[in-house]
Amino acid sequence: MGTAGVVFRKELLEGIRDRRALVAVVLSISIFPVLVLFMGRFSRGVRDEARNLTLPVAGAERAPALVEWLDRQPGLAIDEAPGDPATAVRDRETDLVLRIPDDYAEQFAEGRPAEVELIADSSRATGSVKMRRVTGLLEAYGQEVAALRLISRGVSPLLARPIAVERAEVFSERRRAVFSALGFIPMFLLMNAFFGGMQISADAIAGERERGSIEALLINAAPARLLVFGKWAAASSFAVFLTLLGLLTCVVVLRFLPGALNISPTVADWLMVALLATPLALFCSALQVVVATYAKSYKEAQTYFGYLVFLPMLPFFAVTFQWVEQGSWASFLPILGQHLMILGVVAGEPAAGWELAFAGALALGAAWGLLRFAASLFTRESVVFVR
Amino acid sequence: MIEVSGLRKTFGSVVAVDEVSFRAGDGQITGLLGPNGAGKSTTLRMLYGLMTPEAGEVRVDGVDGRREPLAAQATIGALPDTHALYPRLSGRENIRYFAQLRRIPPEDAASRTDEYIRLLEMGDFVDRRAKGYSHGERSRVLLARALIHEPRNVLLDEPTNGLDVMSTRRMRGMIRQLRDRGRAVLFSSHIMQEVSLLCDRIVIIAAGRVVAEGSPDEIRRAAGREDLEEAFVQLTGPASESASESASEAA
Repeated sequence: MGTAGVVFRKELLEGIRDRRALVAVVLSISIFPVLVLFMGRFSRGVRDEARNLTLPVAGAERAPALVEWLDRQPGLAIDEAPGDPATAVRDRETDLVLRIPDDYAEQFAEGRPAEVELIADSSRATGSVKMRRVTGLLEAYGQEVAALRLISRGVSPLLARPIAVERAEVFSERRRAVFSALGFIPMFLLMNAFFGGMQISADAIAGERERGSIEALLINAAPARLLVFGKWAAASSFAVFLTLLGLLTCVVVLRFLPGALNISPTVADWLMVALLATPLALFCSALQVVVATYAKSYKEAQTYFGYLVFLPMLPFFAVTFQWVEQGSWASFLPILGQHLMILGVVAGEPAAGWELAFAGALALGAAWGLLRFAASLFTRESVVFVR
Repeated sequence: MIEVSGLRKTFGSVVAVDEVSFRAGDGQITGLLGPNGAGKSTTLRMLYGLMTPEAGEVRVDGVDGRREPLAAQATIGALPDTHALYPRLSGRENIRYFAQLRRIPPEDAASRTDEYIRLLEMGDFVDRRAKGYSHGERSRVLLARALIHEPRNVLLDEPTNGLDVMSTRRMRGMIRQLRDRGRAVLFSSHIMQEVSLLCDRIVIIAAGRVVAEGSPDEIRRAAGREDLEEAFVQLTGPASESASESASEAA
C-alpha cells in the first residue's frame, strides 16, 4: 500500500474512533426529515385554517345580504365579532374581523362604493392567508352585485370587462415544489458535504500540529504531499459517505411521507444528484484541509470552519434572491454550481450532461489545487513548529 | 555517521545556531550538551531535515541532507522533543503506522515490534489506547516507533527529560545497545552527569556555538578542570550567558 493509503487508513480509523463521528452521522440523517416534517405540518396547518374559516363580523345587521351570501360559501362560518375588533386581532384572540360601518347600507343604496373594513395582522402566516381568501370573496360578491346592477339598467355586464385576463402559468408543478421541501435538498446535501469532513481534517491536520506529532510524522522519509493527500482522502471519504447517507434519507423521507409533496424524483434523478454531490464533498474537504493547515489547534480550526459554514449558505441566498441564473459563468463555480444543478435535477429540469461534467471537473480541479497548496504549507517551519 | 559543518540558523535577529561543526561516528554515542536554549533542538531539527539551515552542510552517511532530505531521513531514526502519540490508536498501532510509512514489510514490522515490546517491557499497555499513557509508557512507545526501521543513525532530543529513575535506566540501556550494534547515536541533554556517564564523545554548545568537542577526558583537559561539571560551567559560563538567554527566547 502506498504512503497516502497508509495515512488514509490510519486517519479514518482514528476518525471513526472519535465520538464526534457518531454525532455527525446522527445529525446528517436527522436534519432533513425534521425539516420536512416541520414544514409539512406548518403549511398543511395554514391551509386547513384558511379552508375552514370562521369570520367574525362586526355590524352584521347592517349588511344582511352580504353576510348571508358569505355564510353560504363553503368552509366559511360567520361568527359574532368581539367588542373591540382591533384589539382582539392585535392580542391574537382572532386572526381577522370584518367590520361593516354605520353608513354601509346608505352608501350601498346610493350606488356609491360601500366601504367595509377588514382588520387583520398580515405578519402572521394564518392571518395573511385568511385575509387573502376573505378579500377574494368580497370582490366576488362585489362583481356579482355590479353585474346585477348593470343588467337592471339594461347594460351587458360584459361591457364592464373590456379585458379578460387569462393566466398561463409556465411555472411547472415540479418547479413550484422547489420552493417547498425539495428546495432544501441541495442545501441539506451541501451541509453534509461540508460537515462530513470537518472533524477529520481538523483533527488530522490542526490537531497534529497542536499535539506536536507532526514533527515525528514528517521525519519518516515520506513526501509531505502524500501525507496531506491521505489525510484529505480520509476526511473527504467521510464527507462523501455522510453526503450519500443524507441523500438516502431524502429518498426515504420523500418515499414514505406522501402528501407532503406530490412529487418523487426518479432513481435516475437521485443518481444524478449523487454524481453532483460527490465532487462537492471532495472540494469542501480540500478547502478544510487548507484552512486547518493555518490553524494551530483543533479549536482554532473549528473557529475558522465556523466562518467557512457561510460558504454553503451563500448559494441558498443566491438562488432565493436570484443573483445567479443557470447557465451563466457563476453557475459553474464549485458549491454554487452543484447547488443550482441539484436544484435543477429535483425540479425536473436537469442541466445538460456536459454542464454537470464541467462543474464536477471544476470542483475536482479546484480541490487538487487546494491540496497542492496545503502540501506546500505543510512542511513550512512555521507550520511544523508551533511552539 | 553524521557530519555537520558550518551550520547556521537565525530566527529574526536572533542567531540560534552559528558555525556549528561536529561529527557523530558509527558505534559511538555522541552527546550534544548545553544549557536550555543553547541551540541543541534547532541543530537536531536541521539534521533530520525539518529546518533548513541558512548556511553549512549536513551529511548523513554521506548523503547531503539539504539537497536530499528524504534520502537522509531514510537512514535516520529520531525522537523529537514533542512527545506525542496518536491518542486514539494503541501503542502497537502507533508503531505499526510508522512502520507502514517507512514501507517495512508487515511481518518484519510485527516481529520487530514484538522484540521492542519485550526489550522495553511494554506488554502491559501496548494494546491500550495511547490516550491514558503515563509519561514513561509514552516514551517507550515513542522510542520503539522511532527505531522500527532499524536506522543506522539515531537522533534523540532530550530523551530522558521528565522520566523517572527506572525509565531513565531503560532508556540508557537502549542507547548503549544501539551503540553496540554499530549505530551512530547522537543525543542532546542539558544534564552533565548523564552525558559523562554515556558518551564516547561530547559536543558542548552554548549560545548557538560549539565551545568544546572531544572525549570526556579531552574536555576536562581543555578546560583545565578535573571535574567535568566544573569544566562545563567554565566553558558555557557567564561570558555566554546573556547570548544563550536571548537564544532561548527565540526557540
